[in-house]
Amino acid sequence: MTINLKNSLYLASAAALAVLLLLYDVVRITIHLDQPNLTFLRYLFSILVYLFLYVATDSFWRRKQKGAVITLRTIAGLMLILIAIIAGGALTFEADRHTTYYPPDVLILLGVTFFGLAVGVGAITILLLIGDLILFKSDRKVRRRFNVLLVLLVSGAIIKLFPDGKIWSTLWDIVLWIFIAVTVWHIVSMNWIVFLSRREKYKALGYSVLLALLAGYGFVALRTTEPAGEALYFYSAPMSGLAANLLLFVSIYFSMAFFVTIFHIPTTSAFERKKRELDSFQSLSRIITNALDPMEVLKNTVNVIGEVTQASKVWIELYEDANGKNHSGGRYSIGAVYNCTVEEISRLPLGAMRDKIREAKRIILQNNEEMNSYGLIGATGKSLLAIALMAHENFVGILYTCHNMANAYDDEEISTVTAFADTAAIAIQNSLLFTKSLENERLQHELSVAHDMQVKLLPVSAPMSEKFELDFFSFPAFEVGGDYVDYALIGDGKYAFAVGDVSGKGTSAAFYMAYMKGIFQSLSFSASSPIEFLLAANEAVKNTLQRSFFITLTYALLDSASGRVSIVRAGHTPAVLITDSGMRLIRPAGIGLGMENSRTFRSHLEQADFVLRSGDLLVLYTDGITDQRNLLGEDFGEERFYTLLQKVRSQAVTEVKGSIIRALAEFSHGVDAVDDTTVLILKWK
Amino acid sequence: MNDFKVLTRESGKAVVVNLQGFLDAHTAPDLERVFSDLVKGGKFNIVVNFKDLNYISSAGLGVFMAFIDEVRSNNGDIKLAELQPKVYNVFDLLGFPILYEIYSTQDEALQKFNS
Repeated sequence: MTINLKNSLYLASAAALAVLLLLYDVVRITIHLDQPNLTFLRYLFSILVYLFLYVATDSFWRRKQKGAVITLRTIAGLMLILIAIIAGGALTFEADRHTTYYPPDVLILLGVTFFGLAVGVGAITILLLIGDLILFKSDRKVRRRFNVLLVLLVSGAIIKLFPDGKIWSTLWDIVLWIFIAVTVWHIVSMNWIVFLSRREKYKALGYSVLLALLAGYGFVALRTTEPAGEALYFYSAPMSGLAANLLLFVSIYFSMAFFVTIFHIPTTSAFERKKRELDSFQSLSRIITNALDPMEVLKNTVNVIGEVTQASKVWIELYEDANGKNHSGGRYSIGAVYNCTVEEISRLPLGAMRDKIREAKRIILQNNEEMNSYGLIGATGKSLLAIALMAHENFVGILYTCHNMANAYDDEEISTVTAFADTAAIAIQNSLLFTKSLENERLQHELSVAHDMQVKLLPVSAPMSEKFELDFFSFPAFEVGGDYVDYALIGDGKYAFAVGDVSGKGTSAAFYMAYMKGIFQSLSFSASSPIEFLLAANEAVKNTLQRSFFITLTYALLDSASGRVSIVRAGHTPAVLITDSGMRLIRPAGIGLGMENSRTFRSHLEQADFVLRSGDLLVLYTDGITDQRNLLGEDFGEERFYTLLQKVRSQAVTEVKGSIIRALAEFSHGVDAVDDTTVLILKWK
Repeated sequence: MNDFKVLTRESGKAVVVNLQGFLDAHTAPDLERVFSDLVKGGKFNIVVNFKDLNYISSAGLGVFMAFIDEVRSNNGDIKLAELQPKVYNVFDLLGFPILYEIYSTQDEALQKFNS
């Protein structure tokens, strides 16, 4: 009981009033005061006592109840106490059946007072709890019916305020009969019984019998001709009316409840199954909306279906199509199993069923003969239901559920499993999409790391020299590319430059590009000549690269003292030399790195030598420049590129670089580059 | 734009592979499959007709490199014919004329096999 100020106040008021009543009663029994007006007033006050007690204890009883059976148990417990008190009263008090009962002495009066209060509190509490029970999962009609009952109970109590007389006793009889009628009418509103499980129903039967009998006894004992009834009438006539009627109600109501429960027992299993299906469906939906791991979704789905349909085996096969298209070349994998093992299922001959289910969407096998037609006899049970899992028109897998009974799958069962299958299919699709997007995100991140790494493989800045200016750029078409640009001061005022292109694009090319950097940075220092460099590089590449990969490379050696340049070319685009006298393409013979053995490679390798003069421009590039397309599908092409170089020849190298980038952007007009683009520009001062 | 088609047809002792469209990193696997099937089927005399091929990238060239060893070790060859100038230029830059026989007409290439 929550002891707060308000409750304490009510309790104190009730106690004070009860003491007042007791004092009055002492006078009443001493002088046999029988003044109707005073008695009327006294009964009114007794109502007030009960009212205060009710208000003080109401919150205590109401909030504790959980579930119909627990309420029922509490009611039965209270009823036992109440009846014990009534029985005690019946033994203690001796009624004279002809005149109004008066307690013979003060001690008995105290007993009567206690008795009156206890029965009242007990009756009110039981009434509240029964209200909870009846209104459990009820609608408005039930509520209204119960309110009518309450009004009749209170009316009865009020009638009892008045002394016996023809009118009042007739009125009492009328109210009583209406009350009985309304009580019987409650037979249609025993909602709480429906929701009980089988076990709970058995318990409810026991409690109902107990309550009906106890209340029946209580009703009889509280009649005004019985000692207990007389005593209660002495203490509070209204309460004697209310308690008796309440007990009558309890007796009738639980007698009816007993039979209603008996009638509900046969339908319990069907009701329980439906309820279980609904509960499972809800829990599955909850799992599906929360679980992002596809395997978890599948596992829960087969478990729920297995439990709800009491299947012998359940499993889900996932379908993965070959190229994201729905053709028959896909693969099946077992996603989840219930009551069976993956090995056991993989041994089953399911090919024919898989082929058929794509069109049929559903296969139902109801007996051994039908199972046999798919070669499944004995393996899985006597019935099998296979349902195609469809998510947004996509076939994502098959759900199989088996039963040990023949003809296990009626329309209802099929529609239940289908509902599960539909939900599961969408969940599978969603979680697969989610996993895919996570994976994409991860790959995107990895690629951006790779991009950053590759940028670090390019030279940070151009070399500074009094003799020449140099600048370069290299843009991969995707996050990472296969183009390579580098330089090295290899000593003696000699510089090595390289521009290369790994065949193919993307990640695989990027790895070989990094490999090429390693080759360049080590071999260019040790090679005695450009030709020796390429021979060693070819050897290194040939032994490492897959056959379908190769690297093209232009390697230039510049003596910064003399301006002498030696160029070798391994299958790469020609170097462009622009001088006062015009443009020259430097294109010594040479095949790509990694394509041929050293002998063939060497026998077709030439070196071009020339000396740079002031203002000469030497440009190395990859074919990404000339292969750049525009909206019309035209190439940027050699001619356009070479013409541009001639036009910007007098610019500083950084400006030349800017001009090339601008020209490419203007030409492509937003068409994405399909290949990596790299340019190295060298200008002799 | 990146349409690519491969058509194969037997001609005497050789198989003619007709290429159409654009051969780049995206379409190279298609050609790879065709070559792989030919080699598996014991067809080692291959003439590739480039008449309708408008563009080839380095990845496309890689396909020819990938199969040439196996074909030649089986006494066969991959001969190239009727290359458009731009496509020839790409082959030429790489040094393909050193490694492959290149003919201006398909018949010439076929004759080499059939004689």
